[in-house]
Amino acid sequence: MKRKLNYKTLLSIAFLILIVSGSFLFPIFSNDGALDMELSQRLSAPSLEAPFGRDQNGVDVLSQVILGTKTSLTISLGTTLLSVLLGLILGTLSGYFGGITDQIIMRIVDICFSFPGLLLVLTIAAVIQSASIGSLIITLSITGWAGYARLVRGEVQSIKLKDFVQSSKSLGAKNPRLIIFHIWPNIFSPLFVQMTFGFAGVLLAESSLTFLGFGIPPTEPSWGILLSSGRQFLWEAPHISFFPGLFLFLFVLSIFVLGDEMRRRLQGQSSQVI
Amino acid sequence: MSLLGVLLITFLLIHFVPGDPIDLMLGEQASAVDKEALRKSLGLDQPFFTQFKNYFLGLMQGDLGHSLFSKRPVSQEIIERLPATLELGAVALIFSFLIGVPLGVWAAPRKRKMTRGLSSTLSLVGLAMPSFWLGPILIFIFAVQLEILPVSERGGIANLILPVLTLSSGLIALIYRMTLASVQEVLGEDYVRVALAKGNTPNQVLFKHVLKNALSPILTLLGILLGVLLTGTVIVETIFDWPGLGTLIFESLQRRDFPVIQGSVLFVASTYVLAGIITDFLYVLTQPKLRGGS
Repeated sequence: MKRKLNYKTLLSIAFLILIVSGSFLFPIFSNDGALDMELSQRLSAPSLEAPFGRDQNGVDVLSQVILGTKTSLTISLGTTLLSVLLGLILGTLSGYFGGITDQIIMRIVDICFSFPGLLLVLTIAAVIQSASIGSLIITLSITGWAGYARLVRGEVQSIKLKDFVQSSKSLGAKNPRLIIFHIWPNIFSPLFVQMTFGFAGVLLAESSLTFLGFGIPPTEPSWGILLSSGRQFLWEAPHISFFPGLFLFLFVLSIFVLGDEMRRRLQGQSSQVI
Repeated sequence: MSLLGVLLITFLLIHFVPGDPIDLMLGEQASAVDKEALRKSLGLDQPFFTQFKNYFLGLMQGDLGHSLFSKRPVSQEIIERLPATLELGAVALIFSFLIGVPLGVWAAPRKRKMTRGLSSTLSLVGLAMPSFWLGPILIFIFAVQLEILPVSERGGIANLILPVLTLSSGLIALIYRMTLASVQEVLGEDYVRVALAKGNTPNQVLFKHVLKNALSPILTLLGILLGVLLTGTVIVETIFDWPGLGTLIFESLQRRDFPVIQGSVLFVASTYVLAGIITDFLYVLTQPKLRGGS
């Protein structure tokens, strides 16, 4: 059954393409002075010259928003890929072999889940304090993998008992072959759906960390930095926090909409909480 | 078991920080004598296991150590900040349930495309809304422009409105989605069709048969909600200068006040774990099917 794409999904795809291509094309078309400080025009309101206004140093907010997209994208993609990789490997080991391996891995997963939300990540990020893009990716992945591991473990446990796996096994297929050719292709779709939502989650998490001052260093253009500096100038210059927040919100929303649509197509489920 | 793990992780985290915690606390220029004195007074000159044992023994007696900044016991700091967070969290949770559950119940039997599409989009909007964006916007609209609500800090009911709204946007969306899914599932059950076939009006069936069975799965959500809530408070309390646990964690992270970080993270995580256990217990209680085994 083929469903037509609805306008929501189309709009989301369009927005994502626009913003992603924008962040990569922008450096090519803009002049080098995009991030120059114009101290005489600090906090100036949106105008034709600077459509999103300027921040407390007189830097164009639009340029920062566009360049910040790239930073956020890099971190979110990196974290998601690293977490999925770790989760896939550990979850498969846990679900396929069971026993003591399973016990150990699942205890670690439980511990990761006993810190509510961002708390562990926040603490690690603040304690390490060497915030670069790489260290932030590792920090966010430290807890990020656990969710994927749990999902993969459950799927592997149920798929390894299916007839097609068992029959292949009785024909003499070894473990690696069973896992790579028979089990993994069948967990791809739930994993992919969770990845979409995980990606959006990382996007929010990264901005939250940066907003609180424990994320990317303020020298890099990023949404979190704009939002936190915008907070101090809420009275004189609300545009500093309004636009980056709007972009973050629309970005996350588009991914959610796409994820929801994908879930419906791949799994035939219409509603599920996160 | 999980609690022990949490304890170990928070302990390790702070003791295996790259670099010397003493240097971080006092700064590079501090004199060697000062460093040594602080190291002794914190017990950091002892071997790792002795430190862990001492901390654990202290913990058993409710002693979480002393703040490096205010020199007061960590437990006292936490107890002082707790009421503000409880107030904010409880009000936000109740508010979200009061909005989210009825909305979900209302939307579940409605099959019109408009209602369905609009409500699912709105709930995604709630989930995608970053609180550190919504908060400042609300402040800007209601406190700066309209001047009808106070900007921040704890006080009367008026002070609660903006932080609660900020904190609730995600919670409402989660509760709504869960209620919707749960009620829809029950609506498909045979006994609902029987009840309808017997001539009950849809509303009678909804309130007498459906809700009773649909609402208990929502309980399982409580764990996730609490997680969202506890993380949310760090950000929301920071935005609104709310003197709760969230700001305590934020401030001590900024000051690198390790005993306080350790104590409050441990406290929040244990609360979270305990809440999870209680939720599971409640869920079994409300589901006769799961009780059979024992």
